[in-house]
Amino acid sequence: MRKIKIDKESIRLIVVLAVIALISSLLLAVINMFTQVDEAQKLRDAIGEAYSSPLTDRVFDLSNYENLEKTEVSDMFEAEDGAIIILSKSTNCYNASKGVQLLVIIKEDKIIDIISYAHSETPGLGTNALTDSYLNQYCVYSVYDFGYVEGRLTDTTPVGKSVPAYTGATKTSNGVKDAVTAAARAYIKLVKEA
Amino acid sequence: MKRNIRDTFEPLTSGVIKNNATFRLVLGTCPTLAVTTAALNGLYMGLATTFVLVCSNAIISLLRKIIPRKVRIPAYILVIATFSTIVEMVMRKFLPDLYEVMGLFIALIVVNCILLARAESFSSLNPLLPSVMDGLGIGLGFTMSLTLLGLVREFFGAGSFFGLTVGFMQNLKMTVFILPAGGFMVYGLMMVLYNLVVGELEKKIEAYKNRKYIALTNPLLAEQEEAEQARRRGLFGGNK
Repeated sequence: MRKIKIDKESIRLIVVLAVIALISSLLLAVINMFTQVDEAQKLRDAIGEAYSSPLTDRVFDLSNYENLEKTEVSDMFEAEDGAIIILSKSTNCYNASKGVQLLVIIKEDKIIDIISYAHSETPGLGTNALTDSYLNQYCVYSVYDFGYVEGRLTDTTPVGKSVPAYTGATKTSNGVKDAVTAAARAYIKLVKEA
Repeated sequence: MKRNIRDTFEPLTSGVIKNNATFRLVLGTCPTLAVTTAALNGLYMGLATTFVLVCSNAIISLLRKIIPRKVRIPAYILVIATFSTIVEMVMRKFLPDLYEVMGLFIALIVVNCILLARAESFSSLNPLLPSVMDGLGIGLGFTMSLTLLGLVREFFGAGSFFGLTVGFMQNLKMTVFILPAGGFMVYGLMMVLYNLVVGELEKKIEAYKNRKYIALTNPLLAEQEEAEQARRRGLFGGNK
């Protein structure tokens, strides 16, 4: 059997790199302790800012919920006044990895408010379709106004009405429409039909 | 001693103007074009890069005699990655809105060639203080360039100034300025302008230094040159 020779120089290279990596890891671990972000709390804070009524402890089971194509409903909360707040995401936008994440507030089957929660769209371009004035155009609709085929989005234009895409931000506008449709569907499936 | 102090602080000034990373060395072009859709984005990206640059330059300078030559690049990358991760963590916690906009580019600071270039060509060869000054100078120059680029692109592309809407620009704004094509266009034009202005200034400073040197070493020649210049001034003054 051939004997593997390891010279001193190789060991030195390995040790130096390992020590630097170790110190880096320790430093990052310490800083991570102080800068860790509690995503659940961050979401609850955002809802608190957007909607005045406090949240109840009701838990919605989303583990078996099947999302529509290119959308994801990740969180649902119930407020004390009966409103349902849904965090809905669509990847049908310019920055698909981050997607367009909206907080859709529904009360008595009507969309009463939509807030942009997170996105990475281009400022002054895609973000035009995420302003309050644009999103509020959906606030006249009922959850039953949105059209979709089970499992995938086909035509999500609200029945009999439509919100026009923002010129120059068509893709983001479509993402917004998909996210709102996904929230409306989740409301029907998990609140009305449950 | 006086010369040593000048040598120490020289990288600071040269990094901002003479060796400007964006307009002179043409380094870090990817984040330059990607994040400068708004002036504030450029400013924060520049400051984040400056922090990583100063810290990594300092550490690499301190470790320059310990890091073996054969593994210097992975070692530098490790140091740079550590500081860019720190910036990312801090920004995520304390500046979440900004993190949402440029989170990806903060992580990509690690592959910004300015950092590796300064580590390889300066901090690995120089003591701590000049290395820190070099990082600060290059970083501030980068910040200045990114903010300027962002300012121009935001003003003409989105009709705003540091996020504040400019009324008269609302009907004049041209979206192309905040698109990649506009980014290249503004970058190119600003590079031309910068090199014209700074090049001219550098020529004047050089000429002034030469005159001063001649005056010290050869007073007779200096007098003759002065007389010649006075004669020229007189000639051109007469034409006016």
